[in-house]
Amino acid sequence: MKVNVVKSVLKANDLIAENNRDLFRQYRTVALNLISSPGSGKTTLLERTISALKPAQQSVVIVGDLETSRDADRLQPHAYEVTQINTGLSCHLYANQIAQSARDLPLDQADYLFIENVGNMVCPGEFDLGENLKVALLSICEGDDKVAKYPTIFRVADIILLTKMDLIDVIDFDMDRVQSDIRKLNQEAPLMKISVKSCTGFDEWIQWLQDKRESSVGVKAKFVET
Amino acid sequence: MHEFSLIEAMLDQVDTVARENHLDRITDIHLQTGELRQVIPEMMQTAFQSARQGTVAEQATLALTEETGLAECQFCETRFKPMIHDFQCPSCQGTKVRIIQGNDIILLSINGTQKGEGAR
Ligand SMILES: Nc1nc2c(ncn2[C@@H]2O[C@H](COP(=O)(O)OP(=O)(O)O)[C@@H](O)[C@H]2O)c(=O)[nH]1
Ligand SMILES: [Mg+2]
Ligand SMILES: [Zn+2]
Repeated sequence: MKVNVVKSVLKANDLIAENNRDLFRQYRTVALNLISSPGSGKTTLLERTISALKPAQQSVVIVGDLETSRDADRLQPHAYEVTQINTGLSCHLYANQIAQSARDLPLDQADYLFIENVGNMVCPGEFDLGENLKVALLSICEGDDKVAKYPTIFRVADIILLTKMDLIDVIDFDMDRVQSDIRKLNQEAPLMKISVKSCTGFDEWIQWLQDKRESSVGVKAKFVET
Repeated sequence: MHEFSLIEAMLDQVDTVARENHLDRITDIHLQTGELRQVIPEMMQTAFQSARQGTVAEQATLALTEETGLAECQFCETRFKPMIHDFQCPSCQGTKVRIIQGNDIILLSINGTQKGEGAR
C-alpha cells in the first residue's frame, strides 16, 4: 500500500517552535538562538552580556551540549536561571527540548532568553527553536573561508558577530573577503566585530539587544530598579 | 553531517505515518530534498542505512529527488535561481529574498505492507 504524505520532515519540529514563539511573546521575553562552531566564544560572550544587562534586565539561559554541564556552571553565577540540556548524540537542539526546559524557567521574570545551541555551524540552522532572533558567531581564529563554506547560517542570521577581534594582528584573516562573502548572503543583518578581551564592539552589541527588546516587545525592561 | 539529523526527523515522520495507516513494514520511502538545504545524496543513504535499524523502515529503500532552488527579491520581485553562497538579486543586488522552492525536505510517499498482508 502506498501512502502519499507530501509533508516537510521538519514540520513536527516547526509546529512546536511556533508554540514556543507564542509562549515567549506571551511572557514578553526575547529569545535568542546562538549558533556557531565549538570554541568561537558563545559562553564567554553570554557571561559578559548577562552581567552587563543586569540589574535592569534579567536573563535566563538554556545551554545545549553533547555532554557535561560546564557551560551551565559557568553561566549560573551570572544568569537569573540556567538550564542545561545534554543532547547526547544529537548535534543540535530540538524545539521540543526548548518547550520542556521553558516550562521550568521563570519566563515571567526574564527579559531575555539566551539559548546556547550545540557547537555546530550546520544542523542548528535547520531546526527552528521558536527563537525571535538568530545570532551567528564566527571567531576570526576559524579562518576567513568559513562564510563561503557554511553559508546557510550566515544567510538566516539576524546579527553576525565576528569574535576574538583582539587577535586580529596575530591571525591572518582577510576581513574584506569575509565581508564580501557575507554581503552576498545577507545585507540586512548587522555585522559586528567584537572582543570580550579588549571590549571592542561590546557596547554596540548590548545596544542592539536593548533596541531589539524594545522593538519586539515594546518595553525596555520588565522590572526597572526604582 | 546534517544528513543524520534530517534522516532522523524523516524516520520519526515515517513511523507516525506508518502507525496511522497500520503499516508494519515499510518497503519504499520517497523523499524530496531542496537544493538549498545542501544535502549530499550519498550521505543521506549512509545515514539512512544506519538509522533505519530497529525501525519500521529497517528493510526499506530510500529514493531521493532534488528540487531546484528559486527565490524572489523582496525589493524588485525579480525571480532568480540563487546559489548556496550567493543570494544577491541579479537585478538590484539586494539579499532580502523570499525562497519560493528548494528549501524544504519533504516526505513525498511511503510504501508498505499492512499487518497480515502478504502472510496469506
Ligand atoms: N582572545 C580572546 N579569546 C576569547 C574571546 N572570547 C572567547 N575567548 C576564548 O575562546 C575559548 C572558547 O570560548 P567559549 O566561550 O567556551 O566558546 P563556545 O564553545 O562557543 O561556548 C575560551 O578559551 C575563551 O576564553 C575573545 O574575545 N578574545
Ligand atoms: Mg559554550
Ligand atoms: Zn531585486
